[in-house]
Amino acid sequence: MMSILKKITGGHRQNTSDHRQTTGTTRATSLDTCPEDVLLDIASYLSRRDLLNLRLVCPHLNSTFAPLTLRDVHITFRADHSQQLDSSPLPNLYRYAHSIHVRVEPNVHIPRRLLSPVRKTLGRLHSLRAAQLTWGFSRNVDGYIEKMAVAILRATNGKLEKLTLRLGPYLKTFPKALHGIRGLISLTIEHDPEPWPWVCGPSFYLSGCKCAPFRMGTSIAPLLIANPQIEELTVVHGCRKNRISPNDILSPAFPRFKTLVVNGLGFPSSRSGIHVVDNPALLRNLRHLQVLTPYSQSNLDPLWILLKAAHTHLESLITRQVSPTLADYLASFRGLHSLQLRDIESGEENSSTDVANTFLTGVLPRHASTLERLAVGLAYGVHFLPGWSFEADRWASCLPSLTNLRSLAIHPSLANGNGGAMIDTTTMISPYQIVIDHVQYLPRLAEVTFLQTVTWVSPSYLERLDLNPTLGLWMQMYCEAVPKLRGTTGRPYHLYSEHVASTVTRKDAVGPVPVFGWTIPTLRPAPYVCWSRDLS
Amino acid sequence: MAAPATQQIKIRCNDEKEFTVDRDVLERSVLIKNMLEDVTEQQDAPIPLPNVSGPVMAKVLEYCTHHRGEPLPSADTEQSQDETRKRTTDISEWDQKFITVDQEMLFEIILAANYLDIKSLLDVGCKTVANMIKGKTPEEIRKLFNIVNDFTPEEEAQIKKENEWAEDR
Repeated sequence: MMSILKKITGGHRQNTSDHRQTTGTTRATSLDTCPEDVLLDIASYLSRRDLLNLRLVCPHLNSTFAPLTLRDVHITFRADHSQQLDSSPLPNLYRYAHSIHVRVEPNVHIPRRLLSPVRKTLGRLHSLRAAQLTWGFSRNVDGYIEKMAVAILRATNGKLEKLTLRLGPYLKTFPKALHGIRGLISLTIEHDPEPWPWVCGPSFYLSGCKCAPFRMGTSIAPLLIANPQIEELTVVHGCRKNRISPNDILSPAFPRFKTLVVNGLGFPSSRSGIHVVDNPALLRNLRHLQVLTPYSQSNLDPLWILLKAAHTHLESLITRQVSPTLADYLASFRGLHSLQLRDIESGEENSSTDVANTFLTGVLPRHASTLERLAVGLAYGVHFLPGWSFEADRWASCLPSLTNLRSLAIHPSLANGNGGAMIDTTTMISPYQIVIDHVQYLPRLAEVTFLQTVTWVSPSYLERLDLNPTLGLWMQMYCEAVPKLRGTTGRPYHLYSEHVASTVTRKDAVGPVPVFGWTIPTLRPAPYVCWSRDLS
Repeated sequence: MAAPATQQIKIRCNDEKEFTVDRDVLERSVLIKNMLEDVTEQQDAPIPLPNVSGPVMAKVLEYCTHHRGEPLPSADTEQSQDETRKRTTDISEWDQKFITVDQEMLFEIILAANYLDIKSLLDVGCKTVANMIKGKTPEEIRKLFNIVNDFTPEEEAQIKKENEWAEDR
């Protein structure tokens, strides 16, 4: 009992009385005398702006929140130069800055008087471990950003662990300064070939992408070779004229990849020159893979063959292609936690009903005990595909075995003669209800997302939307107009990269809530209907 | 068949005020729950809680009694709910009414919840304080919490300069 009493009286966390002012009369605890752990709990509900304001309230709050707020440095060059940055000594910033994000608004000229203090301060941020640089979205500032990058590299001196580059359409050559980086563990490079729409006007888009001569794959190869310890690599290429070859990102020198995200990966028709083909073991350590290459760009079957040959046991896979070869690979091992099949296209042999049946009866049961997340999405404009849409008779047999499933995203079966109506006129049962009826008994399932029409926009869409609210309306016109002009069912190549990433969740909903119609009236909210339940 | 009688536990606060409470109510506190699990023999002596006063403990017990029987957050669910928790400062109607107290009592409840390790009560208290702070200027926050501005003008200017680098506009 004595030890128990000691435990209690010793205090579980910091003692209340420790934080009372002891000089003069005892003052009751208030915000300025709260223990640090409680203040950090309060901070978790506050915005960055609120926390920055709290620093200015009193010394105790300042010392508590300085490490938290100064951890992430943001430098944004805007047309109005509203961010007042000078080069006076900032010891707290030098001490706590852990990540930096530098960006320039389109077509902003940076005066020398602003650039110089920024470079000076960057040169003192020795504690930086992560950097994000936005490059090539303005015509005249690349040189300035390169100078800032050099300052960051000198300050960190091989200690930078994570680098994120967002490269824009005006970038002509890969910045040489970056080839000097060593020690990276995580690298993300996104290339967006589209100029900003209000800079070049809608006619640019409707006449097709004029991609900059910058070649992604060959440009980043030296950076990868210099950083063989990279474990996470993300390469997003927004232009399909220039594909990323496996040779560009998979070298015998760096077989440590655990996470690989590649949008724009393409296998050439002749595979004889690809070293990964001869050495599939390079892929053995891979656990998380995302490849969003569309069929029209390249068939990824060689990749699935390589993964099978390498005995790679993926934990998560996101892909845009389905095929018998992929099914064969996925059936060769157990232990997948997350499988997201996106943009399954109609009319393809690879997406036939037989292939769907193979996935349902041969692949999913192999991963039944581990699969937590499953998403099966159809391509733009496709509302129903036999087997891939949720049809009770096909899905009912495999569903009960998915005892670990927490999240399911699926197209409800909308095409059985109902022409996209909410209620099937023959059965008078909502297709959403059919899904819910079948999945609600899965013990761990917490969320069902119904996928409907997906609208495709470029990687920088969301950022652009923030900068220009009227763009949402404009992009809507664009998304509808371009496929019509091209007269094809395929997506225009500069629209294929990402869809709007927000979902609508209505946790208070008793049943599914229709949020969206069957046409595309707007890009927001995303065309999803969600159902969820609280497992607690 | 009669239900087994709930075990009664005695606690003593720092002002000598004593409470006799049902064990399941008291076990909302992870600190006390762990302690009771460690004790095998029956103890008559009250558990001393030197960091909590009688009036604050009365409020804490009111909360624990209302929420008795609800599952305690495990480390697993805590982690999965973390993202949602961070975004919302919604407080249920009963909790909102419960926490409508003067500022001194509000902070005493938060500190008691922190000491006794009652996560849900700590969350309610922290959300309430966060809601009071949201959108206010430093001067308004000082006024609200009766805080004296101890900064020299130079110190204040320095913090403002540092903040310029950290603001994500």
